[in-house]
Amino acid sequence: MDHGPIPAFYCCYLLRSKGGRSFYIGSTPHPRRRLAQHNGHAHGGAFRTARQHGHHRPWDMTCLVTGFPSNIAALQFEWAWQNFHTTKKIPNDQRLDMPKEAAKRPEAELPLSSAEQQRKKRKRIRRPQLTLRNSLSNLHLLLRVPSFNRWPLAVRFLCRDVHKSWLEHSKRDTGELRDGFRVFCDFGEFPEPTVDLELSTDAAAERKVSLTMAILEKIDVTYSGLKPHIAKSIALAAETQYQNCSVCEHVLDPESPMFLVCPSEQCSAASHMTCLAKKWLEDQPSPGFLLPVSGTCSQCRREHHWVDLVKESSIRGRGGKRLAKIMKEPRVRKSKATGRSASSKDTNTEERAGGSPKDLQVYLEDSLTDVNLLTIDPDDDLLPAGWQELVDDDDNMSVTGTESGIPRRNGSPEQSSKRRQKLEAVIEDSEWDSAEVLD
Amino acid sequence: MAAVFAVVLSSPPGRGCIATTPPSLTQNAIASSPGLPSVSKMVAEKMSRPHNANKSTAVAGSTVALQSGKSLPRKEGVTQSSNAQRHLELESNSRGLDVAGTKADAEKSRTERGTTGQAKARRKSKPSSTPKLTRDTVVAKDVIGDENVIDSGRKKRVRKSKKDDQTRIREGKITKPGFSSNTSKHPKKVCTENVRAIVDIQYDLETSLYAEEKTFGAYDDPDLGLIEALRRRTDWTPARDTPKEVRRVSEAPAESPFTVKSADAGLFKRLGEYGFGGADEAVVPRPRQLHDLNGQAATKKRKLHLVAGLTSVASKAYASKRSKSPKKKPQTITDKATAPFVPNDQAGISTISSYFANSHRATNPSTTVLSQQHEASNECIEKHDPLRQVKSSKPKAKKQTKTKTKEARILHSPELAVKVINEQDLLFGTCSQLARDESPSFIRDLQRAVKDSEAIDASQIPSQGGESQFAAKTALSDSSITRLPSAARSLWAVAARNDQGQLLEVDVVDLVDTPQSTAVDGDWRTTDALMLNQGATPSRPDQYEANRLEASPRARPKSRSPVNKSTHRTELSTVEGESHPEMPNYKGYTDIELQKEVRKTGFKAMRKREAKISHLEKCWHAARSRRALQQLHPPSTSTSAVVAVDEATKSSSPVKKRGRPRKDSSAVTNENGAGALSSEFPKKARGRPKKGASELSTTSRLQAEQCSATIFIQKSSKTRNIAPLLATITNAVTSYPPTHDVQNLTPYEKMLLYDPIVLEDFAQWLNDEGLKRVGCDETVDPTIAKQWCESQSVCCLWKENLRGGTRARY
Repeated sequence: MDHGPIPAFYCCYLLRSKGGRSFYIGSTPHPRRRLAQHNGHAHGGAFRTARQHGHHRPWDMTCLVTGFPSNIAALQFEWAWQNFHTTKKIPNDQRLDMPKEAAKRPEAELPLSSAEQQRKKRKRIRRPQLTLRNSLSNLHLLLRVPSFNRWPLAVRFLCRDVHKSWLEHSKRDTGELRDGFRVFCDFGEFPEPTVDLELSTDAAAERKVSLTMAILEKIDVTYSGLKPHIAKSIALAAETQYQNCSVCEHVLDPESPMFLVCPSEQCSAASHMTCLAKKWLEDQPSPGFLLPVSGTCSQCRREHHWVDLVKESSIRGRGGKRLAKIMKEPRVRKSKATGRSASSKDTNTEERAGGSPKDLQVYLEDSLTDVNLLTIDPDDDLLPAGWQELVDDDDNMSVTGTESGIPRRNGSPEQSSKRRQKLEAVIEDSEWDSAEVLD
Repeated sequence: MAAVFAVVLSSPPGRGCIATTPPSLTQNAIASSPGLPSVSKMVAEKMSRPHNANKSTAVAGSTVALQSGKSLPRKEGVTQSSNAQRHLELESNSRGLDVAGTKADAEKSRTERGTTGQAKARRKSKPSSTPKLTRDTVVAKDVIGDENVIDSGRKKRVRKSKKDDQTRIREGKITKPGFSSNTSKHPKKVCTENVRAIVDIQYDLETSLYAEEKTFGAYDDPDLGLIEALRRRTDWTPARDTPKEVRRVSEAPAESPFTVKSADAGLFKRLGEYGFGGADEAVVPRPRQLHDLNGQAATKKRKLHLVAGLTSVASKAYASKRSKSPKKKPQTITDKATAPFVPNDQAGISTISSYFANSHRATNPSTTVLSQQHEASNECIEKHDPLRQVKSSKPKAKKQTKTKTKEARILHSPELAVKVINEQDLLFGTCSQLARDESPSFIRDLQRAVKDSEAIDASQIPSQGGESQFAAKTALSDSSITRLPSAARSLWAVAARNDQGQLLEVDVVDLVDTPQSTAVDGDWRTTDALMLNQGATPSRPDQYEANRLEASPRARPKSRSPVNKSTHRTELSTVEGESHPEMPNYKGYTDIELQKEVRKTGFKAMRKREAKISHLEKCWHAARSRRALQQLHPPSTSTSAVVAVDEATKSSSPVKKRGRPRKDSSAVTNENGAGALSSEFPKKARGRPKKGASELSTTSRLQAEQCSATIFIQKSSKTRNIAPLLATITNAVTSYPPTHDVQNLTPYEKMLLYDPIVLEDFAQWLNDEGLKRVGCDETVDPTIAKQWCESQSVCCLWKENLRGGTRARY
């Protein structure tokens, strides 16, 4: 089947309602937009989060699981997280919550066919209520099970208290996450209300949500971060001299997707995919895995994640139109947004060749910053190809892609771009103590 | 001074409106209706009559000047009706009206009515929407009331002028001879204006007219049809508390012009009385009888006839009729068929008491008379149809059937009755089948013969495994269940086709002859089926199983034949005989010990001791066979674990069974296998024959095929020996030379790219290329592939949905 490239961003998220009573698990390639949808600011929110009378809105995004290499992977994970009581990804001995049969209702008088009987039996198992505790514990568990533990995932926390509970759970000797599993804490930057859980008042909840949105805005959901990498690869491929695989020293065909390039800026190491994988796997202290997670470049000696290399390769090899869009030079556009200065944008990428003042590179900018953009330009690279089919979460709300006019909360574009840059550069370990706080 | 005359021909009820004809109405127009004598004639008549000087005015000319403009004060409140009916309203205070003309009109209408009956009157007043009754009534009232008015015309006129301002309802009284005043019914609130107008008018002229016609004296004047009118009226309007007429059934036929010879003569009589029969109808209005002959007030209800003392002719006629008609011979097939079973005097048994009386009578002849009387009195008390009542007058018939009742009416004790019923041989069929002249036993024999012949036929069909022996041996006449599946099985095997229409080799598994106890899907084996298959069959030789093994890989492993529990028992017993020295004697266990043991096996507790014993035995054998096979075939995937499940488990046990393997799996350290199994089961069943083709013991293979629902089997077989296979797969995947073709990526490349792996395709690849390269001959089915993927943290997905759809894009 013709798979698309690895999506630029896909995450699963955990929502918490106002007051902290209800939770919701979903997935999306665009969390900030998705949160707006949940809270009713945009069209296309989930049914379960739409109930106003239940005082659930506004929903707050507490944490994200990022790094899914495909939307299918994200959906599988989301389902497993939602249905941790029945999912088969968790072996039974490790299962934390067993399925409980609902109370037997009086049988219908009509005799049921076998299919109906099965459905009835299945229905009787009640889904356990999502609480912070069991959501986090099951998340922790899912990240450890063999089905998911080699996936290039990372967890980002957007709420301090949620992170705290996570840490508490980790201490409870339930198992270790994979070595080098990345856990981000993105909340340190902003002052938060002192008592997070008691967000029963609307005002407090709204404030918190706005903070979350600010954090989410910083997240790059586009391929723009990859752009330098892609550019370098293309440049390398264009070189007349054939490259040699850094591992096997054989000729590399730059056209093939097997052509992996080290993401380091100056390093020009390229290699066969399989060669590099093998090498990296062998380098691992515990061999026997099929998929590498991270490794060091032979030339520049820097550690990289496998997914980054592969992502770049996939977009290059399968990107097609989108690739062209990414690599396109910024062009002048009639201003839709105001208050944009070219200089701030220039600092973003090195590719920009002195953009015009009214530069509206949507795909190089965080589109979130564009207030007046009401429709997603089909050209833009915000969303992966076929974003219409990419489902945000199990509610199958179609990605309508309408950017509502949510004002940016961050302030000037310069700040946001700077922050974004900093965000990308941070790679953290799972240890909280050494976590770098984004300022 | 002028006579104000208003002729109301038709008036809508409740409306105080009078349509006024346009003033330009000419005499001709008025007199245009046929049958009306010319106005001039009328005028002439009038002229000849003495007039009340006050009221009458000379008929002036021929023109009837209807001057609506000169409306009396009375007229001011009049609303004009839209439908220009022929309301003529003449009002003039001081002008000479052609009162005669108008009056003549009234007279005309009246005379018309009188002469031609109501028809013309109706016609005249047709345009109105009111029921004719009211109109006529009004007219009648007008006619009648005028008399009163006329006499005191002046007075009333004066009076009336005051009332003119408002429309008022006039409550006129119609008095008829022979009626008390309270019987008069209020006319509907007809055009009050008309009414009042009539009152106003001084009908000097009319008086004379009326007097001539003697309207009041001749209330019963058929010309007027007043009586009919009233009768109609009473039928239409809600009835009041009046003594109603007694309808005599006997009187009915004679008097009605419509001689209806039916029980419903009363209705027709009434209709006839309405007088709608036509011009030539000669209805003699019969005065209503308010009082019964007995002097009691007339009631509408028909009195109940005492059954004992039948007086009515009809019932007598009924009774006599019944007694005369002979009992008919059964003509129809149904009658013929049921004739021998119908008791003769069945109709006579109307109540339980009478039944007992009858039976009592039957048993005790001395009390016959008494019981008869009793019965008669019973019937007297209750309301019977004349039909039933006749029976009392037929003691003869009862006596005749006495003996019969004696036989047929013996009351058995409940147990005896049940016994009798159970022993009764029931024949089912249509009436035409049953109503043959042969005896019932003949039919029975015929049926048996047919069954036997069927058995022979079934056995003669070439079947895969000596069905004939089975069929021949189990000559069970009653259990068609055993025969049908055997026949069906063989037929099924013979007739099976694949989707291309070619003959499909069906691996028909015969559960009956499996030497060992098999695991059973408890759902479709009911205890009834099991209990019915009482006939034990000896186990077949094992060669049949060997035949089965050669079946095609894609054979259906599931067969839907009911389990023969008894055969299991016998097989068990034979097997038991072998292993008896080792197996604990469960029969010797006490109940509590049995319970403990059953609980150990992890299955739900069973009630019956028998069930527990058999269950334990099966478990024991399964464990034994598992151990044995394990020793024999350590590397291969043997389906050693055959867990014998008690067939008598309830339907909930499949659910339980699924839970059970998980427990066991913990013993077998396979982290991934457990969870993946229950859903993979159908796929496993599909792919299993492929795997099992190679070195597997016959029995275990057979059993594994059969036990499609037992996850336990699958699981145990997989988890035991799957780890090496998984390693092999890993090896195969990683060692496969990578292509650098974007279009055709090797699976490993896909995995490295984090592409979701389609399990069907992956398994296919493994079987075709991957494993072969490594030197492994095994076939991998998608479930194993899924297991492997999950162990390696590879994202995988099925091409097929759970509901059978195919994933289009992924």
